[in-house]
Amino acid sequence: MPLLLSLRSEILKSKRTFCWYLTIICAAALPIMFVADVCIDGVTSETMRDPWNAFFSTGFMALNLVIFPMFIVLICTLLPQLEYRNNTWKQVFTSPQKMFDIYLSKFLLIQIMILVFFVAFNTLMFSAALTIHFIDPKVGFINYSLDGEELLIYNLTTYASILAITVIQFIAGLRFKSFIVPVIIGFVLWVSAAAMVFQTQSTMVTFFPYCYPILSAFPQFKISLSTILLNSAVMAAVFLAFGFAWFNQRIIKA
Amino acid sequence: MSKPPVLKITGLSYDYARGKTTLSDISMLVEQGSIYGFLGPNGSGKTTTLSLLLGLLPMQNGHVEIFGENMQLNRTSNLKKIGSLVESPSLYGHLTAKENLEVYRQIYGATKARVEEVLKMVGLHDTGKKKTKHFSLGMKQRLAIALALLPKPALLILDEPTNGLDPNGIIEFRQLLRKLNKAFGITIIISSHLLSEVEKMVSHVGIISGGKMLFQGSVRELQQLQNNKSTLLINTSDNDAAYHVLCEYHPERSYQDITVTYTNNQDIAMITKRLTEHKIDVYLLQPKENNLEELYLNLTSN
Repeated sequence: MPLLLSLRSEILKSKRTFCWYLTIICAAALPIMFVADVCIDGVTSETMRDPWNAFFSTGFMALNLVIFPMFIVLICTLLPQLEYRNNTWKQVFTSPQKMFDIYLSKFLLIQIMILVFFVAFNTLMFSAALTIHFIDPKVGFINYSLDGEELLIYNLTTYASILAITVIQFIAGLRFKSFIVPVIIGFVLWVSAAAMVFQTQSTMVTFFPYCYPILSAFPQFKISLSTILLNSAVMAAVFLAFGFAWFNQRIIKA
Repeated sequence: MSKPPVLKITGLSYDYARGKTTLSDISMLVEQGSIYGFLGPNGSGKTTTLSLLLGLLPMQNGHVEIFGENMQLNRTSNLKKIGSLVESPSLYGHLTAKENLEVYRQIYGATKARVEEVLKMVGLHDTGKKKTKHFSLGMKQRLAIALALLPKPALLILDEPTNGLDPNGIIEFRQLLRKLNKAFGITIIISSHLLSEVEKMVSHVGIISGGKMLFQGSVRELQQLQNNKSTLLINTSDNDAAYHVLCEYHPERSYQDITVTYTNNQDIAMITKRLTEHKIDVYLLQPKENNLEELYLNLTSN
């Protein structure tokens, strides 16, 4: 299947690139911080009441607020940069691949990296919980069970809320030869989103994709969760289609 | 019966910006098994032409037919039969030579053995785990050729492939191309801004300047054009009288000499005979051969 061949090619290109290291570094950031926090300040009484769920809900909150949006901005910029930095767009477009396969395979590679991120994040969070238990056994992780369904919902909600941003940053990463421009765009929009949610409490937040991960992670906004996730999926599909229309017409200057 | 052309371009025009014509009515015919030298000074439109025929730029006007099929309608299937190198090598610096080929191997439907084969062909089979960012320019160029050869192409399109290579590298590169053409029957289009660089290996030449095709034909036809443009510098005891005697050779007067055009050695003998018959002493009779390089410079500078 040509799309799979294109995807294979994209995966091979990404071998030994910083993108994979970045995925693991970002996934490990919060678990390491949590362990460090326990080592320095000890465990809070709130955590002791329902340790697993408290631990993971705090983790996903912090993830959605800072780490995940930044990871998406960086990964969506770094991957297309591979072609710009090596001057390989010409080779990509003169190889017998359909434009749609090239476009979609690059997007799918980002989705694979996000999947790896989730697997690594959950595994490392679990490991961090066990580490905390050994540091301070009174937390009692062993005495409580992990709500797997809740954990799956956290993961799926986070993924769905980030979809629209993924597509926007992916297109920005393809569009700009400079690494800095898409990163600045992503950073400014993320800061704007945080300001919209926490400061101005604008009613437009449901139409601004960069607000979605924040809205989905904080309980006070969960009333519009289904709207947010639907908006995110619809925007992702629309932007993906527009992005391809542009990509198909792009001019490669040799 | 002659073989059908591998590439046929008709009426190709392209503007990067409105009102600024980069290519104007380019037509090109590349015969099967030939090595076609696509020549022109920098900025003449060579890369634009090659980019258009590879589908790197959208077509505005004209028609490109490769292997008898419309390139725009059969882009993917045609690209399977084309190997290309447009200007600088397109390689992933963090990968090894083998990994760079592996990226495209299955897309071209090539076997693992083919990867080894093309690496041997360009002399890069023993580079091991060395990443391509540590390769010399010559090695990168050879790897780019290996990548272009991966699909066992029927047509190889090389845009200024010897840029930045040292003289030894250029010689090796020429030998490789000749071998590919002779041994595997690969049709090659090679662009360059230097005629001297390609004149020894090409069978056909196309000369482009200012976005217009000035000459297209075989090297023999170019040599014929060169012969027609050869001149003879003459100085005699009476240049005025000599000017009249040689009027059928369309002489041109300069301050001290006369210049006439000639096509072969018999012409020189006849000119000498005419002058001596009219009792004009010949002081200087200097054939000034217009070599291909001068002819190319004349064509492109006009």
